[in-house]
Amino acid sequence: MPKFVAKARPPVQDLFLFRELRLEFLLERGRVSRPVSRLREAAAARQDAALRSVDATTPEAIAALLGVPPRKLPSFRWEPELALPDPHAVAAQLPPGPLRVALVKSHAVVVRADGVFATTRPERVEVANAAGETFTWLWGSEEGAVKPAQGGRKPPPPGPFAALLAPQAAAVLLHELFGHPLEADTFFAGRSPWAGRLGTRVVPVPLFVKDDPAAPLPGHFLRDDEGEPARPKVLVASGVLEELLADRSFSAHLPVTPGNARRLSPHHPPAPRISNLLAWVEGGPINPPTEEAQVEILRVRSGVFLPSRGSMLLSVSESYRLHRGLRGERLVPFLLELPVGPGGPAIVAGGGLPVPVAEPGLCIKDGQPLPVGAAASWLLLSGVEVA
Amino acid sequence: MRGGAENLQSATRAALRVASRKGQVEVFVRQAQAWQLMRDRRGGEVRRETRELGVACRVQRGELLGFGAASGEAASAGEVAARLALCSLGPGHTPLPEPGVLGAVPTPPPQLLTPETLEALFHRLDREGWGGLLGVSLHRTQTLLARGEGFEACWQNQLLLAEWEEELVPGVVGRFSRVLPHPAANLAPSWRQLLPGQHRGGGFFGKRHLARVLLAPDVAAPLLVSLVRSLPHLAAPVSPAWELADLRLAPFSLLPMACDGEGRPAQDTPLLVHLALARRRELAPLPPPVRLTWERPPQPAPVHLWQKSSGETVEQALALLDRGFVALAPASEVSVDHHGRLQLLAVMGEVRDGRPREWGVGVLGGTLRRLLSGLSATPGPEEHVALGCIVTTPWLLAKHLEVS
Repeated sequence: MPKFVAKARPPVQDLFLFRELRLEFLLERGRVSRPVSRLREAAAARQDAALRSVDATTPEAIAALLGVPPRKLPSFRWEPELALPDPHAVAAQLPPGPLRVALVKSHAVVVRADGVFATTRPERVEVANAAGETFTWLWGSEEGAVKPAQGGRKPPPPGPFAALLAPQAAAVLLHELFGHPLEADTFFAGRSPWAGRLGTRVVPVPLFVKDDPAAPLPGHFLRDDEGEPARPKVLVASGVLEELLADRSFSAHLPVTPGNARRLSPHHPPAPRISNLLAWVEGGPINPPTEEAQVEILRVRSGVFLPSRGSMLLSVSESYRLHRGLRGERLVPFLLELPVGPGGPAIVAGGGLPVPVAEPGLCIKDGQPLPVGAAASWLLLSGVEVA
Repeated sequence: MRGGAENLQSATRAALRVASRKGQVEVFVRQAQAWQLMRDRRGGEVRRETRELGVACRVQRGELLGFGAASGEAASAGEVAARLALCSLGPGHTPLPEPGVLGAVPTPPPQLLTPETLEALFHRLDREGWGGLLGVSLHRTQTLLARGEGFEACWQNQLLLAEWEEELVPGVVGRFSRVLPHPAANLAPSWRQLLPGQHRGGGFFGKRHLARVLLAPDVAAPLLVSLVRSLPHLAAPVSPAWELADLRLAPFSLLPMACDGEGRPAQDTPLLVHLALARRRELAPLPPPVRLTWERPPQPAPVHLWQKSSGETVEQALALLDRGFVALAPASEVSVDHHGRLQLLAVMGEVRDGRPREWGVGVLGGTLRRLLSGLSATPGPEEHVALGCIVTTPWLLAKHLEVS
């Protein structure tokens, strides 16, 4: 084994075998063009704080990863079948475009001292529209709304106002507000607004935010990428911060449970990541109180937390002025500032039933885009301003 | 690289064996090896070693073209890539170039660095107090592009990268990356001298200003990439301050190559020079096609963007600016809508009497047209920023940008 990776060879923690088939094409006016097919096959071994990976899953390649002669490996065969789908069958289930479409099938197994674990990954559709917005859903389930967000010409009201977030926008907000900041690596690096606030109430309404890898959404798995069983975790229960998303490296030293490790490929190390985020307000009405808001936000492109301001900035891509509960002018895309002070974000009401939505679709962290699922209800925010 | 040339040849032979009788065939093979040494978020050292081998195959039959790509053991990946290409025949792809236009330029192999050099660099930076250093990495690639008609070009590249995080204003951590031309290269970004701790703040800049803004290389680089992507759709006068090119030839390109992503001889491409727009379009609508990765078909994209410095120092540029803003680092990605309106969050300082005063996070906006026509100067040292491509850029002094 080269000196660079391990001078004294520590025991192998796990071996990760991966095979992924992607079919991509352009869909314009219902016609399929520029089809591209791709098979990625690779393996990785983790040893202490080292990761070695190679684009092959042959016994010879794995023996080299483990630093043993091939004859020392037990006999094994790992050749999962992945059949290429017909792009026209995929296209038939989509709006006419223009869209960049990918259908992704993959298999992965984690080999550990205590067993071999298959990480079940569902077939999924990934779509990017002409505006570059990304969406995902499970192949065979109802397709998401993939129309580009529509910006208008009217400026949003200047002062503090109440904003009603549709489920798609609420999903992006909660992903950024509670999902990433409660991933253990972000949380313990001191970059989370919730550091030191576990067990405290941060939202005045009975909001629930749950990460559920077992839910039939694009972030689905039954074992994570370290082989740990998938565990639904309630991150926020009735407005109180409850749990963190963690992997084995954190659970080895801290009172957190693993099961949230995900990776893009064997060439990337696993890290705590969101899978499927479900959010609702207990006892909330089904119909949103449109008359209580001045702005209705349908789509949010992204969000960033600014500790220096104690606030979250949301990039609002589609929204409308509300006049006595009725939808009025379409507003220009704008940045919305949501204070996240000691009292937490001013989420003052929410709907009872989460609705599956296709955004944020692909979530990028540390250069690794991963599919994530979401289901959210509407939310009402008060005291927000245009940045 | 272990078994490099044999692997490339073996993958190519396997792909040609499967596909050469079924149409015109092109095979692209890239073998990459990377070593990374980094600090994890708890301060421990993490090491990674990666070996990748990817094969892409394009098969053209009549008006249909198929693209397939596969990674894995060389011969098997070549065979799978060719089979996938044959299964994916469809319309809409750019056709393969005629054999008569294929060619390669001599590309000298790099002087190979060892992983031990990387280790020494990491510890040097550690000693120099780069507390937020995320890591350094050494990347070597060997690439072969072959056509069924007999054309073949092969070249090697090497890149040394450093990435780090730094808190610029309280609570706002920027992530930075640089390409190091050699292990002894200075990594310190030129904006550091402008950000003494006592001036740090945290606010926004109130209502929207239309202002002159001095953009540091880390802000300029993503804007340059967005600008180049949008060049075919932009109609605006070009400021005389522009001298922007896409470099692909040794010795000036940090990623020299023998041919473009389709087998035409590599060339440096002037993208923006002091010319009227119509003539610029004749010169360079877009950079030539390139393989950003083996997994994707060739597409027009920059490899090594280079904007020449006009030679003034950053201090002289601030004096020239007098009143306006200085943007040091992005705090978000650049978003550009289909009207060419750009927006990003950036760590900025308000400049009064030629000196930066208040620092905070602001929204930087404007249009690519204004950037194209409103560039006043390109002062300061050129720095090699690593994004999806390499961007070597000095600071950019631009008029008519919006700050809020």
